[in-house]
Amino acid sequence: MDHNPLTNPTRNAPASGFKQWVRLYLQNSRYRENIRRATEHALEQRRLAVDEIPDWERLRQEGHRRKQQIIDHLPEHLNQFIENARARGIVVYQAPDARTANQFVEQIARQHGVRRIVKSKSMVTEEIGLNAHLQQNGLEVVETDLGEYIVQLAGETPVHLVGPALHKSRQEIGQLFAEKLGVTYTEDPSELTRLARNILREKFLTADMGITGANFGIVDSGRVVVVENEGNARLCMTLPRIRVVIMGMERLIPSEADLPLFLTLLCRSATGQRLTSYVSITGGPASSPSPEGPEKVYYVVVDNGRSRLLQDPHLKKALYCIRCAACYNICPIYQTIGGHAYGWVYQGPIGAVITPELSGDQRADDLPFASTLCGACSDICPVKIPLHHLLLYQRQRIVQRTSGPHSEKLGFALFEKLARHSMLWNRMIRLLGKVQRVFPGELPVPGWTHSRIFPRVEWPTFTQWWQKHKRKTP
Amino acid sequence: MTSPTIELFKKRFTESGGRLFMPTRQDVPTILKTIQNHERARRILIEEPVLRIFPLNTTPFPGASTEILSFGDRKHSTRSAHLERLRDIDMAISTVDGLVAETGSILMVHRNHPGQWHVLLPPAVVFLASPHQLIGDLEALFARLSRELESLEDGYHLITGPSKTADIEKQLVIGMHGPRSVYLLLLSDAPSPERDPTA
Amino acid sequence: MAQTVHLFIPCFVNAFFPTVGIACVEILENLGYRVVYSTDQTCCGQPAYNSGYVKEARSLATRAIQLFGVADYIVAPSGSCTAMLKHYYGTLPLTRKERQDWDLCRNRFYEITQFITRVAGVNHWKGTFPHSVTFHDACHALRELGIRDEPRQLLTRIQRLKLIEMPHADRCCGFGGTFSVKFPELSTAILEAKIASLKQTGAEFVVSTDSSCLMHIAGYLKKHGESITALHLVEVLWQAWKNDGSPPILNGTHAP
Repeated sequence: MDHNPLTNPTRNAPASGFKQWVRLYLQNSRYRENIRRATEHALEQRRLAVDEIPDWERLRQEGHRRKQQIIDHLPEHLNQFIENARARGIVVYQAPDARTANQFVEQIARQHGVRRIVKSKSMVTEEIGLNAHLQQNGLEVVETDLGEYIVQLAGETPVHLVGPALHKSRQEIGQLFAEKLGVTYTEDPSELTRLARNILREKFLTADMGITGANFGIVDSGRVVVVENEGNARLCMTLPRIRVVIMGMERLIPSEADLPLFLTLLCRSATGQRLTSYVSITGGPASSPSPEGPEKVYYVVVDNGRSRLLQDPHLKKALYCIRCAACYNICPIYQTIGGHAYGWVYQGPIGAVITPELSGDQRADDLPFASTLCGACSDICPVKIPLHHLLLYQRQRIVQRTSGPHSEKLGFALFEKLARHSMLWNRMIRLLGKVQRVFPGELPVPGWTHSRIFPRVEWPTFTQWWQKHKRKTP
Repeated sequence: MTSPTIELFKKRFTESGGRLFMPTRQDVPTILKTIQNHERARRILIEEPVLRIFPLNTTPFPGASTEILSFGDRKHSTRSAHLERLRDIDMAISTVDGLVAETGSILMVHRNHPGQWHVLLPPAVVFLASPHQLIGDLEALFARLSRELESLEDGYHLITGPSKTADIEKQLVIGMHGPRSVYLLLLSDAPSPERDPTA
Repeated sequence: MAQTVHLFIPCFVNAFFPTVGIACVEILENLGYRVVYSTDQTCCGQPAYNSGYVKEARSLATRAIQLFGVADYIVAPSGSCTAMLKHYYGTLPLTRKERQDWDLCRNRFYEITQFITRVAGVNHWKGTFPHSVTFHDACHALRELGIRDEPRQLLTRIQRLKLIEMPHADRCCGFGGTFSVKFPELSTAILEAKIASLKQTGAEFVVSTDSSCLMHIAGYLKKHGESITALHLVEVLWQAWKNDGSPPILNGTHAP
């Protein structure tokens, strides 16, 4: 039994892994239609928002540069961030892995007599499997972002960084609410939203602890920034007595002066907004007594495999990511199979780059190969992470580190031998052409001919034509 | 403050889903009553600093109970009592600490509005502001704030339009967890703001 | 003295789509270049490189570099192979000597559309092609080499050619080299979105700058009995010349 929290906790991947998932999800036409509609919508919103910014390319370059400054000296920046946060009265814990992060949060909850926890959307908590841990230890954890709430009710995991439930149709959500909440069936999004609001409002008012993620941690002030539209994150961070911020250790930006840039890049890329409804830049507990706001503030800064990315001169660029999901939306793979088919918390191109390192699980090794290397991800990334180059790089690492499919290794060794000798190479082409001509019907090519005709060798080949007509050599 | 900035703010604020009025001080009571009517607000909370800009307590809202939230209330109340007081408010009236034209956003600084439950919990919130509080863009906002950052102990936040969600089939629904209605009364004849975040 | 162009023909174009190579020769010669080709040429190594096999890719890269000689330009009818030669060879673990050899080549690599428009400076293609055409942006030409407007410029100047843009012309067709056989169902599902896009135009021909995309697209079209024909851009350019009767056709037996 696999306990790696990075894997989809609802369903363990079949032994054959990702390829099996892909087949499964390709058959789910309603799921695929929902994914396609949602990604197209997000891309269009993004396009409109980006078109408003004439120097978008310069902003991307600048975003890349500033994240590079941070990541190239991450330990120093992290220390400074933590020091500044502590000066604000915030308790900071650096969690080396998922287990320690989860145990720390549980411990805080016990220490403060917490029973009910409200949470806003945070991918790192999905990554470490925080909810499952807290629930197993008798605590109530309520997701309050509408999409996350839907996914939690359904016992699923988020299908997308920004829209956790975008794979579900309104009818499915209506049925889910009727079944789990005992309400009359409705498929009206406004009505479903109102129902969720009312239920969650009561949870907010009676929660003892609020957990949020952080879009950015600000090095020179020790503050964190949370970007959202619903207002649930603001309620999570101001209503309960205890506030916990869980963040990946790479979330840092140098200073608040960098916010105009990063808010522009993030909001426009993620949702096509100039700014989301709420942008909260928060510090520690109130210095003067006030019934509003938390009494205690904790930051849990999570490593959980990030150091492995950081050690690699290429892969560390993946830590620039600001989690906007634009690469998900534009990726032909993601558009076609959606997030759940990946079987991991981080999906799309960035997920395929980082999951092998974050998980340390060989079953993630298929992910970097599931790309056409079309480069659309690198083009859309607001901080210019060379995603498709990193996918290529991961392929090289995986081939080097694993025994790999034996037939493939032999295949490429043979390919190289043939291609080094033009005589052998040309003989192979002639042989293929002959076999194609004597084979009755279409010569089957594994993995190709079930859906596509494989072309026939043409006589003369270009080289033959050249030899006959030109005979010029350089 | 130049008028192009005001025009840009008006455009962006409205595009974000906020409703904007530009009344004179004299018109404020009428507009507030109209909003109250529209929102069917029975319990109205006025944050005390509002009264320093405008003596609203002289204009009771018909059929509604009105209460004033002061700094002192916050200081001397317990968490549960304070929450009990705010949880059923229908409409809150608050000041702002700045306005950002580029994004149509409202700035709230925790020092001036600790906690800010009053602008989060009710379904409707009305902000009163002066054109003097307008800032051109995010760059200018953060440049101004940076001079003051250390003393803004607990942070600050930006509100851009009403609370919203598009988590069901990407369809926009207004009013998720925060207010569904955000009004701004930009007082054309307001006195210079007495509490600028950078002052 | 005419400038020399060394033609680099992708391995699968050599075997499966020789008319694309022939069209390149005809076009380049008619534009006044001396064209050379090494019959010793095989594959640039991209299939191995993209699958993570660096050692094999390096071996083929160093071999390919030795073939190019002193030609003024090295031109390929493929954005993908050009990007491999021009950009990705630089990421391979080459020896100092090999890197020097590559450095001497890298600024001479051109994809043919780029070469025609930027180097030869031809943006106004004379000729006639009385058909409707939709253009698919090959990913590597578009994103590795920045070729977007050039093919369209050339196509729209051809007499009686009707260019109908498909929605999302710049989205991948799902080929991705070995990806297409490693994940055949996924590759086909992506392809089906592309097919739907191009069918929406009602065009007779789908044109692109990479025969690999076209092999993928045409393979599906043929398998499913669709009437749309796939052509490489150079085939259209050459055919447009031939349709006008000028410039003279050097060899008519290999018409597309």
